[in-house]
Amino acid sequence: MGTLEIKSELDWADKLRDAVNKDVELEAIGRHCDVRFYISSTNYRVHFVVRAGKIVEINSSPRIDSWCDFGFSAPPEVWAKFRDPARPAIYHSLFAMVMRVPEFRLEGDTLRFAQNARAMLRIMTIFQDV
Amino acid sequence: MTSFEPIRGGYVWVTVDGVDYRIYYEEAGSGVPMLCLHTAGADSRQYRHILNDAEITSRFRVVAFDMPYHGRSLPPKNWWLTRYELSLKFYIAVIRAVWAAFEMEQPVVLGCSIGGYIVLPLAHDHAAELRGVIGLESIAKSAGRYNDFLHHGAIHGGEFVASYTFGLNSPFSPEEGPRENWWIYAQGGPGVYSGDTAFGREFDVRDQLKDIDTTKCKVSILSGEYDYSALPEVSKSVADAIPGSRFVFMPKMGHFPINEDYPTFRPYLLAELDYMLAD
Repeated sequence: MGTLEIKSELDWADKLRDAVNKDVELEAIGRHCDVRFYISSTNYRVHFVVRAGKIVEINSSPRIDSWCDFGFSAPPEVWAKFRDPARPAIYHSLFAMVMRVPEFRLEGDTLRFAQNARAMLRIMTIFQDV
Repeated sequence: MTSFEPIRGGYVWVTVDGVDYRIYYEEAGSGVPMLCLHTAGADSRQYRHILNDAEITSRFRVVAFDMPYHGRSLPPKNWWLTRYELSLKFYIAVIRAVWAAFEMEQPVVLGCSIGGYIVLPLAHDHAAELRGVIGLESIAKSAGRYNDFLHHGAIHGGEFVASYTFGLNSPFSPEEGPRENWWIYAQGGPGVYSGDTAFGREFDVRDQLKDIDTTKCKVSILSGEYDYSALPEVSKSVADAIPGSRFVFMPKMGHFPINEDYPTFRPYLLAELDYMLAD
């Protein structure tokens, strides 16, 4: 948790995949969640492919032919606050940052995101703790 | 285990601007009347903890009701011909119609979120008729929660609205409270939360605050640390602008103190209820 170092990209991405794929709640709610999303910062961009609520592909070196529906982008210090176990207010949840943290950006097809908001909220909540 | 709660439910018809509304309510206790106002897009189930709290119901007659379109209160006749948008005037008229129907004299009005917003103009306009108001997460001007995705043909409104509001809970609240609130929100009718946030768009009573007469109507404002909609510093500025009001900051609490973490909220509430009862 805390700051995401570029050297540990695959580490946290793999941990996120493993946690998502064994999450009981996503097993219950995620069967129609088929999206491609990214998590990015100033020094990395990782693509995730989700099928039926499971992360089936991770790409930490995306080329032009790797596309996403939507993504989440923020400077390292914002991601660090989002993942801080102390949960500082306004950084404590995805939608709090959407409303109150200008450096945090929900990008791309926001309609697609909204259609999958419940599962994506769960995935990003898991991301806070891996 | 079988047990009954001491809550009585029922329906009351009220007329507002010539239109009849069938209002669902729940009540418990006896004593000083207290009317409870739920949050945007939700219903009176949020008050189940207060309605079951003997330390409160031994001194207060607590009534919580569902606004029209919410919970078990049906929309009015011909509802399908009008887009639901809550207005300041209508909101106040419904509240006053309900408190009149229950023949409440000098009630305390307790409201959370938009319920906490509306107690401000109530206190301003009707101070002489009220014992006091308790505003939870009160602000005097809209925080801008509206967006078109709240009521959109390509989006599951229940799941989106419930998820959109979920982060307003504190991350430190016991999980069952926020999850229950998620469920209540997910059961809101299409466009109801969206229509309630329309009220927020027009809401601006900042000019009224300095004129609220707290010698007639006591005012308590409480705010949770994790409320990113009605920010604590904004709620405090509301209290600061009302001469004689009280402000209480609740660490590790969110936007829904009445049901996201009632045990933690309870001491704060009891203190303000004692204040309301004091001479």
